[in-house]
Amino acid sequence: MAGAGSIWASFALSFAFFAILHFSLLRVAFAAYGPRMTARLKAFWEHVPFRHMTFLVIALFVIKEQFPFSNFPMYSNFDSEADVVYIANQNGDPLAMDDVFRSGSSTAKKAYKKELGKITQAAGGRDSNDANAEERKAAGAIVLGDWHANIKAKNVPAGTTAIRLYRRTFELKDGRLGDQTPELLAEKSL
Amino acid sequence: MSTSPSPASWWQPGVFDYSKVELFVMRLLFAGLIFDTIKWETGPYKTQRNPTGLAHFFDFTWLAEHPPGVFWQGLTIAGLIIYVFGRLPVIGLAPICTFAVMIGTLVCSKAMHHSWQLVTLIGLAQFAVYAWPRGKANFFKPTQEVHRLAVYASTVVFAAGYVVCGIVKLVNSDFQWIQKVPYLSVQLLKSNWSTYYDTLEPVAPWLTQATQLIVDYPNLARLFFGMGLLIELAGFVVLINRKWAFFGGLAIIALHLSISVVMQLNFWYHIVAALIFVVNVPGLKRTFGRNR
Repeated sequence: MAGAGSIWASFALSFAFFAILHFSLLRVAFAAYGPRMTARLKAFWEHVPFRHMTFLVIALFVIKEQFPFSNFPMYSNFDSEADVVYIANQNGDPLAMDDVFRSGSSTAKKAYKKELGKITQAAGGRDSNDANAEERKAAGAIVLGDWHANIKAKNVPAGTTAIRLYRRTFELKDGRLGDQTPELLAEKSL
Repeated sequence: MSTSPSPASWWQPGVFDYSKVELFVMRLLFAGLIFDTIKWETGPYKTQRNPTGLAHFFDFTWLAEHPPGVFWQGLTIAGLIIYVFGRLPVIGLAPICTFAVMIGTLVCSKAMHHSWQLVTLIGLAQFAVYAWPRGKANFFKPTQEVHRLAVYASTVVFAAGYVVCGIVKLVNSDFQWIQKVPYLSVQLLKSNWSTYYDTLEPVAPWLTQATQLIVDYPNLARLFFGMGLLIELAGFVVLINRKWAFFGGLAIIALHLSISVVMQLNFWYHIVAALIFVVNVPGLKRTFGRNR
């Protein structure tokens, strides 16, 4: 134990020595160049066009999506396919999500994409666009479970015995728009 | 020879000369706006499965069990009232900023929304301006200059939100955004059907034709949607002077209204923020006055 103590003590002493040395060097350097550098930085800052806004734009761009900060990436990239996620009854007839779940289709879609991303990342770091049917169902089950927990029972249409989560994909192919048969992702009894 | 730019440079704008009435109206309308953005009904948000911002460090799910009720909302309103009258704005804005950040973080930790960030950031920017140490007198009753600075900070946040949105479109699409515009037809279908699944209100009968038009006339579509991108990228113009702010604000509102019609995506909070801080109706006389 005494040996280990000595090692730690020497480590701490060395660290302190180098810290003091560096600090001293920095002080000398700052005394020599600091005021000039500060003045140059200030002059540069004053020449930046729309400087406060520019600074904030860079900050938002770097921070990305961390509430309340955002780089507002909506519709920043898209391709020939886009999907929606919705909840239906046991027969596949859509339910009004705002009324029944107090949360809409786009929120469900974002939650589904997040869950899918986690699953595909855990399974070899793949992109969620490359998810297989099993992974899509696993993500769907998580989302449907969450939405089921927030169901407003009084707004559920009579005769509904189960809820289903569907994914419907729209596509642009050979110059024509179309959509695929909705994919059943998960089902839960009420 | 001085190297510093002239203070009159259009690209180095400063604080606008808002009158007391304009500042009062701005604070009044903004108080209503920021209060309305908060989703006080926190019951459905029982998890933070996709944490964002402070949710990486703190658990806000207790808000789902204990949604802020009449007392906390009343306290927030009381704070906003003293803020509107320009007294103790740091104290006045503290409750609303706290709830806006906590509740917004909780809600967005379920799935990200983009309706509230801008308004919350404007609130925080104003709070930062008022909280900046300027002596006791300014703490209790800030001067008109400080109130003007708070509005300038709000406008900076507003402009930055649009500029970064435009830049991200270019970067995320490898600068192919305009080229890819025909694919927006698919996004249009998606967003309209998404609204249908929210409410079961039938989708617009013209949707199929409109989306097919984008595919059939891609260059026309590029021109139309390219204008939107240009408006976002040029969002900084609202900082130049009052006239630029007015017309820039109107362009942004027109952009949002067209998105509302075409894509069923409503950004009412952004529209109202534009009306308050950049269009600034009570200041129209000053904006278009003889000496301007």
